[in-house]
Amino acid sequence: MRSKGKTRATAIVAVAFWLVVWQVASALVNERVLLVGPATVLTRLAGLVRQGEFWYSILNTLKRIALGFLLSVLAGIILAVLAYRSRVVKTLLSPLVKTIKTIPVASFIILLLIWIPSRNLAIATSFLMCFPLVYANVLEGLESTDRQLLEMADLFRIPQRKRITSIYLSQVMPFFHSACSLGLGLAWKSGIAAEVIGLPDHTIGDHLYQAKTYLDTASLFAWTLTIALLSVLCEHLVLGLFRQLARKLEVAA
Amino acid sequence: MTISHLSKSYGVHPVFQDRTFTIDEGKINVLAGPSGSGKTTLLRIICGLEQPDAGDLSALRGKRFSMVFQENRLCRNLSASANVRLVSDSGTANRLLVELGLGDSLRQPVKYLSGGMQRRVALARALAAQSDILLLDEPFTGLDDETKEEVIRLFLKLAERKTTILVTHDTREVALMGDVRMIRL
Repeated sequence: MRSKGKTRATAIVAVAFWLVVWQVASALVNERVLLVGPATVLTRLAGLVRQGEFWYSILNTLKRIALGFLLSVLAGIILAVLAYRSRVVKTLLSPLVKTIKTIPVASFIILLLIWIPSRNLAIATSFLMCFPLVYANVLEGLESTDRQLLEMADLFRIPQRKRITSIYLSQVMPFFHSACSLGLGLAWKSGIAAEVIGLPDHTIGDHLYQAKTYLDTASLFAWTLTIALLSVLCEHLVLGLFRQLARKLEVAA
Repeated sequence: MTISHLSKSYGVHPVFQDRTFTIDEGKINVLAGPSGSGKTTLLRIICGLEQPDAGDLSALRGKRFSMVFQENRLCRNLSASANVRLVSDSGTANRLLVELGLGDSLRQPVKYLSGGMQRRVALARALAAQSDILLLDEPFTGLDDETKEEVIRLFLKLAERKTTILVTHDTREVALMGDVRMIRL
């Protein structure tokens, strides 16, 4: 407990140190277009949160990124299970997944912009960025399932439902957990990039672009801070749910 | 129950060649033999986890097996009770675990239990499962002498009149089992 408190205090000191460095740097530069200090950013953010447009834009972006992420989780799990059960599916999916992994996000966004309306761009981009991660991790988890446990399940004729909840889930969970942790950050980064390029109305990406156009650096920093906070919040929320699920699995099954 | 003309080899290494084994039903049959003589292989063939090269296993057709493997083969994240409930109802699982001295650890994930406690969970699972033949591959390994005696006493009570095939190196364990049929490999 004492060591946890100490770690937290150290983290706060580290953050405070960089905030001071940031404030000093902005004072030295003394040019609001180039670099604004944390105090100015927080003031701007306080102004933004009082506007309905701020929350409406967050909601629009959040729902698109969340939808893209959830679809990637769904598709990643279903296709990983199919690939685990069928060599043909695995072989067919392999080049597709590798291609998606290698193509830069900017190329994807521009390509997708030709095919789909800009309002759906963030959904498709987050989906494409997260899908290979979820698919590869879940498949790896399934493939690393303990053969001895599966043999035990065969011998005791354990029903399929119990095998899934007791053997497969507990083996795949750590892989799925790390895929979601990485995927959520990626979904936010790629989703916002898609909005900045596609410029759908009333979104965070749209406001970032406007801030850049009007050289409103304080707003640019305030929106960026909002994105970082939202990304961390989402990660905590999703990973918290996983922890609860894992705890339930430990005692139940 | 006779398994006749059994042959099994791994590559060029023969394990059995045209061997016949008779198992007494309702009794404890002890498989004895030096390391590498094929005791575990025979258990695996009996329960169908491995196929022999030749042999008549028709006497085993339709039988249900339960087993304590050489390794515990437990779901490490699941509680002791959940591991046994995989093969039985909750009442049976908990009763067996309590009888085997794990009453305080029912809801504890097995990864936090000691080696000896995990071994007892594996034994409870094998005893809880509905089966005609109980296969035990060195089931008392990892238990200290006192616990071992207690667990064997309980095992004899719980598995009374059950067809059991036991692999062990420990002559003291065999002595504690009482009236057994010895099968030499």
